[in-house]
Amino acid sequence: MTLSRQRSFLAPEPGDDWDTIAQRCLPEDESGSAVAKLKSWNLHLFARNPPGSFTGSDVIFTEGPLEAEQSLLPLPADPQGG
Amino acid sequence: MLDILIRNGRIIDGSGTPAFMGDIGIQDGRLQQVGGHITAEARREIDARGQVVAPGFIDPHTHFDAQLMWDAEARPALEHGVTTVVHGNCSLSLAPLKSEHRPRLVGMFQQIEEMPDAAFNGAFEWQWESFGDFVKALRGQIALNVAPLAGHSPLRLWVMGEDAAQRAATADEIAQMQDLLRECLEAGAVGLSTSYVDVDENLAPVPSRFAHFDELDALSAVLGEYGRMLQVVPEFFSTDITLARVDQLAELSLRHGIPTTFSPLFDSALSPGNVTRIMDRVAEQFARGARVWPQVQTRPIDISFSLEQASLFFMAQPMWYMIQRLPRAELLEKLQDPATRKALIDAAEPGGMTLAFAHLLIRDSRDASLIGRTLGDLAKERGTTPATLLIDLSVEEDLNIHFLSASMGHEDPARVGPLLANDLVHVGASDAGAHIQSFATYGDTGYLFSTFVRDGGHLSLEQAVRKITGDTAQIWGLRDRGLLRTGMAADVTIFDPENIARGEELPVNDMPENGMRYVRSASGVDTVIVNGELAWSAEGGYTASRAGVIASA
Amino acid sequence: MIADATVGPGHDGEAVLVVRVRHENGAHDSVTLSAPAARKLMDDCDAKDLEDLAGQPWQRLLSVLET
Repeated sequence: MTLSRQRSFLAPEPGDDWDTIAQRCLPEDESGSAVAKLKSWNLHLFARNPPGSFTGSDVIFTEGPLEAEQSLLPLPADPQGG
Repeated sequence: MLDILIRNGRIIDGSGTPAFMGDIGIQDGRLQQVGGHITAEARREIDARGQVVAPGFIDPHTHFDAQLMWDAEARPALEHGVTTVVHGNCSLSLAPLKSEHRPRLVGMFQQIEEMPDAAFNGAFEWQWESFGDFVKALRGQIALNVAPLAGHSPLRLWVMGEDAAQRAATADEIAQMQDLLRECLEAGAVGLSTSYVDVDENLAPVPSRFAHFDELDALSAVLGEYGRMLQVVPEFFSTDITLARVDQLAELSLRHGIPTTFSPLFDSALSPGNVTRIMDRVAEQFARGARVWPQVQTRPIDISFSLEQASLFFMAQPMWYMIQRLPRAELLEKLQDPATRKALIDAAEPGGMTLAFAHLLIRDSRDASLIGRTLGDLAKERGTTPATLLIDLSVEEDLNIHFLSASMGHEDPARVGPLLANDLVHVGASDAGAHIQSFATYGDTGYLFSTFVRDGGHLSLEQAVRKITGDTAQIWGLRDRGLLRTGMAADVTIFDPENIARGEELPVNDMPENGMRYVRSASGVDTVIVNGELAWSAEGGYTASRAGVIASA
Repeated sequence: MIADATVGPGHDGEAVLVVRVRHENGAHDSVTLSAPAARKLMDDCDAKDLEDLAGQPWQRLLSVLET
């Protein structure tokens, strides 16, 4: 049985922070930009207390969403094209 | 001589097979005969003509842990036909727990269950530290069966002390937790619960959230030795995160041969693809042999609020939202200022359209006659408008009146019905005994029958019964329950299929020291039998029976 | 950028704000905000109503949440 592809994620290891995860997952990217990317993919970790921290049981996405979550609301026009 | 003879019932045995007419004989706590015509005499006869005779309902997600220490019936669960509850969910159980950690755990329980402090301090005597002693304290004292989970958070507290809420466990600490979990399972725990979302009274993550995956993996290995359940609470309303959790659970299920369940899974118009995507993944994982049961509640989700605290409910009414953010005294003054009132009312009811607030229910008020009424009805009666009434009542009651916007999520039977009927969905997630000051978590079983069997026809009566009896027992490995079969435990619920439903949500003050909670009464339930003893009947109410047992896997 | 925001029911009976974010690849993700966080976001974006949030950069959401 082959599983369909899902958005990739990792479970943090002891001692991990945004920098160590960025180095591990996005080694080609410059550090600041890699961390920014990671944060943009993990806004859920900021919408709680304390914002931006994570614990050992959290899910950390290592890429953006694969598929649009559909909404009943019409999508607004995107003047910047993405 | 039988103890109880139920005559002329429409027997639905919990397996999903078609109903059949017949009698049921009960002796020594067991089903002595199911079906046919019984001629033996019995100490008590119950005429079930016109009623369904079903296995007692099993609620797999409750927080009755503390309540059962002073309320043996877990009221009002029993009168809704529930004869077995799983408690210890969401990483929280009252054992194993060292005495010095009690205040710490009580804080977590209070945050989640909204129970007054008196519910833990004074309402009962803590007679245990170990899980075995906790189970002993329950034995002979409860009117319904309890299938207890061991909570991951107290497990960590026991082994790590305050570090439990600060860091990863060492290999040695994980080994100690494994041994402790083994003790719990030997003493009757039906599994382990953990949480990815819950917080304590200081809004800090509960200890289980500090566990890394290797810790949960090690504990799941112990569950695998016994084939017991892992229950988790995933993050709400995020499809991708829930999908990740499904994959993690599937990995643990396959690796250790254990059943797992996550609760809750909601449907929401905010994310219509949520349920489809998650159920697709669940199906893929089941096809691989993993057992990852999503728990889906039957009832819709409501939003409650008062004008005292700014609620996002008013986001669609910016002027109302802004005024709510004023300091209390200023807000009261503005609500009485004619110009502000007019502006608010005009904004909510442009051109005299009164739909915005007409549906709002009054949840609690110092005038009991208002509770349960809609602003629309009351406004008509009083010759005013709903928005005007919302302001007037709030001012009259010094902002201490609460309103409810019902069915704001998980509310569409056309979407929720098929989901509940899905064979891979575990009907549960009632959360009974939690959030007691926010909403009533009782009566989901009645709602299943009234909304999804009678009104919607999404499930047959037999399917609905199976979902909350036979299926639940099978998923949790409760081998002795969930079916009406000769020799099995005599947990029986007799109900009128045309009338079973949940009652209106009402505030009551029946917690220790007059604490408040919301409850719903039952209708259509006639008789509830636990382990062969009459526990509740519509005619006589609760009995003194304490026939509940620890319903171990 | 923020695609849209909608009020919905939270698990605990409180209203929550679900903010949908559009990523560079065109896909969407959502984040659920409590009342205080939603209020901060509205203030920071100088938004009078929910429609005003659409089109705001995601970094604004992040900075609101981080503070």
